[in-house]
Amino acid sequence: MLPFTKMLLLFVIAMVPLGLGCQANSEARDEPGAPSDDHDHLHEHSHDTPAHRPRDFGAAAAAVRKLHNFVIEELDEGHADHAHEAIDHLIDIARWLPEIAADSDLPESQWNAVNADAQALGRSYASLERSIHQHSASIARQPLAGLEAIIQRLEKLAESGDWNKPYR
Amino acid sequence: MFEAMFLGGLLRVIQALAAAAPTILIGLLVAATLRRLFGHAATRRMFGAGTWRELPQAWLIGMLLPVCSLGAIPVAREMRRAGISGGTILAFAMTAPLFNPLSLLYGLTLSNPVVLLAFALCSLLIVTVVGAAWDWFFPGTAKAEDPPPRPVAPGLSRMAALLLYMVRQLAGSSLGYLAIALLGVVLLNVVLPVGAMQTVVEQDNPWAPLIMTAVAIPAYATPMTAMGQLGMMFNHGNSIGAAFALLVFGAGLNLGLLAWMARTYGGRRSAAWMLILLAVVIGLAYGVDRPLRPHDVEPAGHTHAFDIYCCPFHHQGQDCWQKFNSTLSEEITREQRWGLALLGTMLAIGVVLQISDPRQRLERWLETPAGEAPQRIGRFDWHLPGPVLGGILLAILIGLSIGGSFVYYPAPDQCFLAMEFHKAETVSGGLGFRRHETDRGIPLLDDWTRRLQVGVYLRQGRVSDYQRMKARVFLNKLELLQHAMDDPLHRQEAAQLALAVDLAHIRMKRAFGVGSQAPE
Repeated sequence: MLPFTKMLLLFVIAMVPLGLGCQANSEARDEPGAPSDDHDHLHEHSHDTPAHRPRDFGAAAAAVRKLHNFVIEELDEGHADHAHEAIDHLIDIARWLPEIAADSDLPESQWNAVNADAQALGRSYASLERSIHQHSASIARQPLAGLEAIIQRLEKLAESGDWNKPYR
Repeated sequence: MFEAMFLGGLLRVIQALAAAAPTILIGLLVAATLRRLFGHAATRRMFGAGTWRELPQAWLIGMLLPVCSLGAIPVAREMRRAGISGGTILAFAMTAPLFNPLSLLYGLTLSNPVVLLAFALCSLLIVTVVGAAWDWFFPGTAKAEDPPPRPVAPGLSRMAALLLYMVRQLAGSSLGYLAIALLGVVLLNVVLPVGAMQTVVEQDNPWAPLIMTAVAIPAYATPMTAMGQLGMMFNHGNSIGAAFALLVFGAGLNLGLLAWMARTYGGRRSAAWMLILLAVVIGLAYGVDRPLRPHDVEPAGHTHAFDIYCCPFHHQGQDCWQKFNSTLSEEITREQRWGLALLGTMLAIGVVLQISDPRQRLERWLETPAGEAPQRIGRFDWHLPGPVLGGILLAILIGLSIGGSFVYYPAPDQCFLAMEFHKAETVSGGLGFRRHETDRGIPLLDDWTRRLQVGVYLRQGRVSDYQRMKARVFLNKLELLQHAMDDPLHRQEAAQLALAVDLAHIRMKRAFGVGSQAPE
């Protein structure tokens, strides 16, 4: 017969990672920038592309400009809470941008620049969302500093057409 | 219905054996080396028996040797005969199939390396906790065979003894355990209808790690198969906890190993070990599920990664014989046929020996009479001691496993050369909506794209983000094409995707510096 205390002790040890996992789980959900369940549901169907995913690099640059302007307007009018969905979409597009850009004819040097810009966009919008979430409207605009230059670079690249020149 | 189940089971067993033949043979060779070259004392030394190092050492040796969970069974039996503790044997048997240099490199292309590193460290934790628990609960399980095997005279006799051991093991009791292990594959084929696993391991399903555990224990997967499935799980945004359970139980455990445990150590001890293992693995699976979840992957909603664990045929309205024959002829490669032929030949020789010489008189004839020391024949013809020769053999196996990586993962130009035909077939199949062509070409293109990245990593020390992303785009296009081919209504979409696959392939080729360079 196995000693009961040994079994009990071992079971408790074995359950420690489970507990850590639950904690990490709840922490991740509580984090202001973490995607909510509702947000996850946008992507739940099989290989269905989310409606706000741009079809190509040109569309992505245009979408970033449009959503960014919308966010700025809402912030100017003091409706920061109206900008949540647009910011979520901007975070998504920033995450998809390297892949969208790779699905084009951009050469490596330009793709690297887009990749770096996408990281910067993602970080800034996530930071903006956090500060809005914390109701610190006065500092909400801080993360947006410098984004205008990035968005202009993306637009310029999109207008140049370098990304859409199949070289077969 | 019965026809579908019977042929489905048979197909799954043949597929498993074809994939496992090389690693079963390596397992038999390692077991023969331990018995005939190392002997008990050297085997115990190699595994650090009786020291604090034995569990991590068993884990490390297991990581380096290219055996699968079927090949680990004869090795575990030989370790037991050498007098190694149960905890160490089980640690080795569980971890040897999880990783080897080939599969580890393959895995590095599949996901963030941090995930794979975390999985490897978790496996070390499992081995240490479960192995130590075993030795704590059940001390004294290290009982060496008495008397130990007598040494064999060096030279041809020793080589013959190695081969004899391998064929006898294959036709003897190891065969029973292999059969029990493969029974698990048949069992899953009966229980799980076509595509039953396509949607159950999504990351938002809290039961995913448990479901995967239930399926993975009777399932059999080679290290490379398991690694490929992990990659598909990562790409589809499936549950990371389920992926971990698949790796540990699918690759590391099978019913044959459990049967050997129950017979060797008794049912109650084995059940206790299994409970502890389940608690640790499931605990870790839920523990890593969310922290390691990739944030840049869209959950796909379903996956074909586990179709191989389900019945391959619909129970009604399908010509199973025709599909059975076509699957066998298309999926079993020439190399696998050679492996199966070698395994079959060794089994046949083993059966003949078991019938004609059940008392192993042949082995006794080869063994050196007690007290007779091997002699030195000439100046340059030395008799190397068995452990030295065994050490060299194992080092060669490990070296081949590492060095073989350069052959298995060739240079980019070779990879693209190998891809050309499959790409043409896939694109043509997509344009003409001929599913058998895309079904054949897509998995091969997928595999070659991963091998391409490992090959570049091995030779250049890194794969650039640009190259990695181009490969990812190509794999995604393949995936979308595969899904479009599932539904005749998507014929037009499939044609467009076939062209997109072609374009993505050209872009990937240029990103890897093959063909003309992209304009800067």
